[in-house]
Amino acid sequence: MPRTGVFVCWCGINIAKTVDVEGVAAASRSLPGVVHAETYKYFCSEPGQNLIKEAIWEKRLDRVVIATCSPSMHQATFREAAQAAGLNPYLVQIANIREQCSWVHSNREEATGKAVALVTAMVAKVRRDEPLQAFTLPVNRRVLVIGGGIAGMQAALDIADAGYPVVLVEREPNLGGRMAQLSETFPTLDCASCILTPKTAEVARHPLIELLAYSEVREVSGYVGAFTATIARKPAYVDWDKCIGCMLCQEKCPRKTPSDFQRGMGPGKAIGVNFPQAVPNRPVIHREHCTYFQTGKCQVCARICPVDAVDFNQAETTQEKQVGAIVVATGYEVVAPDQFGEYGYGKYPDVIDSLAFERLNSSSGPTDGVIRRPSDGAVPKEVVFIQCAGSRDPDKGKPYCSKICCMYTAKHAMLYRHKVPDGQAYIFYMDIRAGGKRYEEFVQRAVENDGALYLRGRVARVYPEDGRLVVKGVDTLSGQNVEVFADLVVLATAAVPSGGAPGLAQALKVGTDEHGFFNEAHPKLRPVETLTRGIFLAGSALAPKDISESVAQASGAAAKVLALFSREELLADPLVATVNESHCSGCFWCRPTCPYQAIEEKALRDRQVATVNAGLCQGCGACAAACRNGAMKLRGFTDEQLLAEVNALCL
Amino acid sequence: MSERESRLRSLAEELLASGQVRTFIGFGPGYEPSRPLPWFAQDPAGAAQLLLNPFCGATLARYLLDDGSPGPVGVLARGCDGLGIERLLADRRVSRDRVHVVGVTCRGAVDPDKAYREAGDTPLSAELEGERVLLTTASGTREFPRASCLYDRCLSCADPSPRWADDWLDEPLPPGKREFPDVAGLEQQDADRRYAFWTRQFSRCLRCHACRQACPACHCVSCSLDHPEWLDGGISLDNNFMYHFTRAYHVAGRCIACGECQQACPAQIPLMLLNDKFMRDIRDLFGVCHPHRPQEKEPLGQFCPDDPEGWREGGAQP
Amino acid sequence: MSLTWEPKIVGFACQWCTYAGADLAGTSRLQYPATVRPIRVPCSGRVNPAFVLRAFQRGADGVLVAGCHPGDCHYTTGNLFTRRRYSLVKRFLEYLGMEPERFRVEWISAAEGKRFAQVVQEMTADLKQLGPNWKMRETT
Repeated sequence: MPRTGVFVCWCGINIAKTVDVEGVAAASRSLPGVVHAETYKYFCSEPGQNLIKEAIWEKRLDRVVIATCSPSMHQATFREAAQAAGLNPYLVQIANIREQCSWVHSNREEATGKAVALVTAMVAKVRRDEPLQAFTLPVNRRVLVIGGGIAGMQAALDIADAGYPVVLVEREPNLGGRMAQLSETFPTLDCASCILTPKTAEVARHPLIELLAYSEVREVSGYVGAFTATIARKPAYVDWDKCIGCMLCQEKCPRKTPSDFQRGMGPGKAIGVNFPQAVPNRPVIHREHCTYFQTGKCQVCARICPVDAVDFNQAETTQEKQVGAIVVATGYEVVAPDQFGEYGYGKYPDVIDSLAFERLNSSSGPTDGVIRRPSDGAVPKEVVFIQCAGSRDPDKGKPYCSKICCMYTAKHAMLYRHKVPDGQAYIFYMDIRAGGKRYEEFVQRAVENDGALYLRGRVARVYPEDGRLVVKGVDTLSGQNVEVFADLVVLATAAVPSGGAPGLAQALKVGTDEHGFFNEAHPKLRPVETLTRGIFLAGSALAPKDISESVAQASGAAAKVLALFSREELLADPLVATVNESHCSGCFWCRPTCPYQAIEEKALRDRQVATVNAGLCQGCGACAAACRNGAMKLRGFTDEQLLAEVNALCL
Repeated sequence: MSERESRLRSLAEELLASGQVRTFIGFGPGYEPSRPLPWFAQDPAGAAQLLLNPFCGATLARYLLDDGSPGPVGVLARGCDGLGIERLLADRRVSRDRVHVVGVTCRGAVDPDKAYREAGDTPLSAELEGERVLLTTASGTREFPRASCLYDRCLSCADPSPRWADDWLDEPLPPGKREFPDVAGLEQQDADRRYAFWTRQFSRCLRCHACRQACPACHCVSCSLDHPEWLDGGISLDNNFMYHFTRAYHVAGRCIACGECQQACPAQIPLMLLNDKFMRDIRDLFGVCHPHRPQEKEPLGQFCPDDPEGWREGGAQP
Repeated sequence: MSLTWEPKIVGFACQWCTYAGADLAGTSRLQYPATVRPIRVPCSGRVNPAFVLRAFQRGADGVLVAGCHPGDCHYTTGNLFTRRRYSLVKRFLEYLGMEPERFRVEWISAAEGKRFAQVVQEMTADLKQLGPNWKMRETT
């Protein structure tokens, strides 16, 4: 039988006025295992805490119940006091007789009776408490940033500038992400590469950032402070260490191919970089386009290379990186063209998406920044922009707003007018969403200064006629059917998670929403964290975001990482689930209830049983309730403890 | 000997002889013809004694847990056996590569007690013909309605065939829909009468745990109802309520509706009335119908963001 | 002891929402009957249905399971399992003959001190009307 001490606090008159504290102490003395009970005005005060400590020593107490205010107020105080007296802090329980008793009841007799019941329950519970140690998790103070777009780069720079090493993994051969494809940015109209290039250069030369370009994260194991990531480097067929970036290979490569980076409009080469300012400035061979890989002949690049860097035998290599935290910044892409039959996207060359229009505007684009339509290279005199192509369209499975399209479409209309002063831009829209600093003014400028004609309504069909495109739609404001003859149609296609996101989410064991965007830990209060401790989110991986929001969130994620790295070790709450292996049948029906994927398998002689990764477990107890025979046990809230509380409260 | 029986014997013999299975679980001779017993054939000679007739009643799935042989096990599977096997696979108590399923379509099994009552003598053989059962006793063959001869659980069965099998003895039939008229009937009564009904039932309970032992979904290596903190040993009405509540809840969403629990109960407690209540509410509230595949997520191991709040929708009434 | 009978309610309260809401009722000095005896749990998803039955067995006249509103779970999904589980259990208890008023599930946030007090008041009034529970209860 344990030796339990009960301490009933008066809290001045806060408790004592309504609850007969001496009566509660007297009643406690007759409870099983209680060897000491006393009252005091303020147990939270220093003399009060000393009384508890003295009683622990003198009465050799091994369990303590303090009947006082809510555990959210002083549980930590009393646990520390007990610890100072040599008692394991987890052998202290609080009976809340203030917030949930004396303050809410006025009948002294009833309040006292309830206080006795609450103390009885806690005495029963504490008896079944085990001494526990908060375990420590060492923190590997290195971070893995996945995605080298603007968000990933910002997070990497913030963390590296604070003095911690960063492993930055980018799927593409170069940094920059989506932003590298943009021409100008709203609402300032400064050129994207002018603000991006300094960032990419800074990342490249930062001594604490290890850039793994053309690489993908394949597997992640471990938990906060101690993740292991398996990272695969795709074969570039060029030895980047030897390569000096002269790009003779790209120049001389005889094989012209459509370039994904140029949205299929400009010619690319089977070997080369996406754009001249690419960082790292190292070429890759696109195997599917390369003549040598297709036919076994050519090798022009290998012959021309002055440093003999081309290596057709290069294979994928993998390496493991140990990190303490992970930032996911995998960004977005735009929805596939086959979704828009009615707009003729993918069918008529002059129906393009907005990223393609960015390329047409870009001085490093296929037209050197002159706006020419893909079919015949003519400068379009009338351009129709269709917003919400896919977005806000439950039928297309994208009920959400892609958020950035209203702004970039206004930008497109402006840029177009600046480059084609006699051109006319028409914009079909549902609503204009221009929330943001100087955003609404920007849209107004497009209308007032640059003559963009906004038509509120959906487009029903786009079809070709006499070398032009007929755009049929409805202007819902006038109620009229509208028909516009256009030279070019630009679709503001819905932003969707980048293609690698689902596989990555699986590897990270982090949840996504129904569209594949990563889930934040709390939509309002924890927007850069995931439910897995140590994994953070930045940028459009979470939902479509513009550049400034992505950067802000990236810095937020970096701050979270730095807070984590501010300690040598993490303290982990020992109130986590554990498995009684002799009872576990190994059915694993606990698993789907765990939001943290903390339940793992362990082999016994005759069967697999569940085991809980204490680094991942957050102590919610869903698994314990799902376990039919109580093999899964939540420390601090075990079945025995809760049943004992029920029994005591019903006395 | 029926054609299916001879096919079963030769198939089992082949499986055993070729070493594809080490044991074949089916039915074999019992102490009287109307009471065949589960049969563990270990060799071709054992296979030659396998039976397949309308008296073959018990669901065999659970015997997979009792089988100690190291090699793969063959098992005869009707709809209930098939779901039971799926249950054990889903609960990871049996692995797929250790079981070889021989599927057969079942039109219901004849309850020997019912048959004895109807025929007034020990039945020697039975044949199912549509809505009628032909029972043969020492004094000859007579016809009886199906409902008065078949096991109760077979009358409400929605799964004549297993969903899959490694070999088939005949053509499988698609699953039907399970309805719950008895649950609805009990729900019509008021709370006190329902309580009185269950009090009558549970006060008979001997706590022999036969319902648990017979159930293909109740196979924890250590049952919470044997743990003293959940249930002390005493047989009292309140403990029996606790027992039956917990048993039914633990198979909620997992029950395969084989009716073995009720069949096994020596006190004839209508246990399927408990299981069916959960099954019906799971269908009504969450749209998960029986028979749902046990391999799919358990209805209680998942959720939809817009699940109804069942307690607001008029309580016991559907 | 008072002469009038007062019901006994066992209330399972998730520590993030309902327990904090009950604390708020305290700091706001809202008055409600001393009938409810709270049990703090990390999440409403921790509450095994057998706990509810045990409470009735040991003499509770009513049982309340309360947690965060769906969508607000501290652990994101715990209360969504609660919702499924107790949708069934509530109906099942009634099927066994328990009066609907004796078992309630409520979503009470940390900001809803008033709601907590109101639920206790309502439940107390309902249970007073019904009288002591003897169903599924142990006899001593």
